[in-house]
Formats: sequence, C-alpha cells, structure tokens
Amino acid sequence: MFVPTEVRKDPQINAAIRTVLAEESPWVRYIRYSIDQDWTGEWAVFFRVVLSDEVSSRTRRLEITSRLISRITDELDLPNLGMMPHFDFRTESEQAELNDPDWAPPTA
Amino acid sequence: MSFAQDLLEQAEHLANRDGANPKQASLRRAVSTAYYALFHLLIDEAVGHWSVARHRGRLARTFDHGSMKRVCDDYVKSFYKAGKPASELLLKEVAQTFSELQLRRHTADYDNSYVWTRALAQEWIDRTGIAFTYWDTIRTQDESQDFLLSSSFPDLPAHKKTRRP
Repeated sequence: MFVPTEVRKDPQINAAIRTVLAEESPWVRYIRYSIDQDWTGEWAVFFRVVLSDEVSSRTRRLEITSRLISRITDELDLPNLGMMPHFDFRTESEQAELNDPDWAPPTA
Repeated sequence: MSFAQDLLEQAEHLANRDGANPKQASLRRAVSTAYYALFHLLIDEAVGHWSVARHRGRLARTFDHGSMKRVCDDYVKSFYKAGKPASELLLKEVAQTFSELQLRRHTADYDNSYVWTRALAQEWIDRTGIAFTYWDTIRTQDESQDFLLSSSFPDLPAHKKTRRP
C-alpha cells in the first residue's frame, strides 16, 4: 500500500522496537510492523510480535503482552508519531504452523 | 450481574466451549463479544447519568463505534502529550484497550482470512477484564467522567482540561 512520506516514521518506530526487544529478550523473538489505515481510515502502526514458545501459560502471556503494549507505546512518542499503535501476537510455534509471510522473521 | 459483565462471561464461555480444537466461529464470536462487553460497560455508565430512565435505551443507541474509537485514540495521545500523568494511567489503559479491542472485533467479525487461536482470544478477553477492573477503580474520577461525556457527545466543544499534578 502507498504510504504518504509524512506518515512514515520508520527510524522512530525501529528505535522503539530495538529498545523493547533488548528489554524483553528472550520472551520476544522479533517484532515486525506495517503502516496502514485502520477500518476508520486513520493511519496506524500495526505491530506483529512473535513470542517465545516459553510464553505459553495464559497468565504469563498476558503479563508479557501487556508489558509489551505499554513499553512500545511509551517509547513511540505518540504526539510526534501522530498514529496509534496496534498489536498482534503469536508464538513461534503458532507462526510455524501458519507460515504467514507477513509474520516471517525480518531479514537482516 | 450487569449486561456488560454477562457479555464478558459469555466471551469466556465461547472461547472455551469447544474442547481441544476450538472452532473459528467460537473464537471470533468470543473476541467480538469481549469488545461489546467493554462498549456496553462504558455506554451504560454514561447513560446512567441521565435521570429519565426510559430515555436511557434510546440514548445508548446514539453511541457510535468510530466516534468512540476517535475519542479513545485522542485520549491516549493527549495522555502522552501531557507527560504521562500518573493519575490518568488507568484511564489511558481503558481507552487504549477499547481502541485495540475495536480493531480485533472488526477482524473477528469481517476478516475470514485471519486465523484465531484460543490463546489469542483469551488474551483479549483477559485484557477486557483488566479494563473492567481499572474502570471500576476510576469511574467516579473527574477525568473518567469527562471521558464519558466526550464519548457520549464527541462533537461537544472541548473544554479546558484541568489536570491534577
């Protein structure tokens, strides 16, 4: 999808991802994102977070994902970003089963 | 138990009803129901202020999903713009959860290509439950009441907000 250049804030988003990945390793394997319009037409950042299979219990998963949402949102500088972040989560084994290219590990 | 609480309980029931191999229909309805639980929690709270009880049902039907999402998104952004005031953290969490859940609900209701897992559905139900708990803590605070007013009448002129230190 074409994304207007004034909407793109990749350095800001990538910096937030790096910070949070460093904090949450090894529970978080990697994070990908895309910028798109939500159903209301507003631009938004859609994060796709792949979790370690060790984050399997319901309580643990909620704890980790809640912290990730808070930390990434905190790091993004929302007033400057101008977009809302949204989050989706899968474990490694869920991604292995679904084999969804949008969720594949980022290439270096 | 309130209608909103009943919906949250029903979401949990739907997410867990199919044994080891949950049906996509059950998981999708579970997530959608969790969203509606939070939606009704907020609008029931808002219309509860209207003193004429027979008007409340009509008033509740005026709430618009898109407008409520915009109010929530604006609230989250304003929270960060104000330097993350501690007194408003729980309301920010409720607003952000509402906004997130609404997107999930849209996916659950309309996107046939998205594959839900039970863990993911439960995660959003749990997050809804946390929003219920947070709301119960802050529901009488000025900021929460202002938030409800904005959700009820999103086109109201903004008033100067007085934030507590």
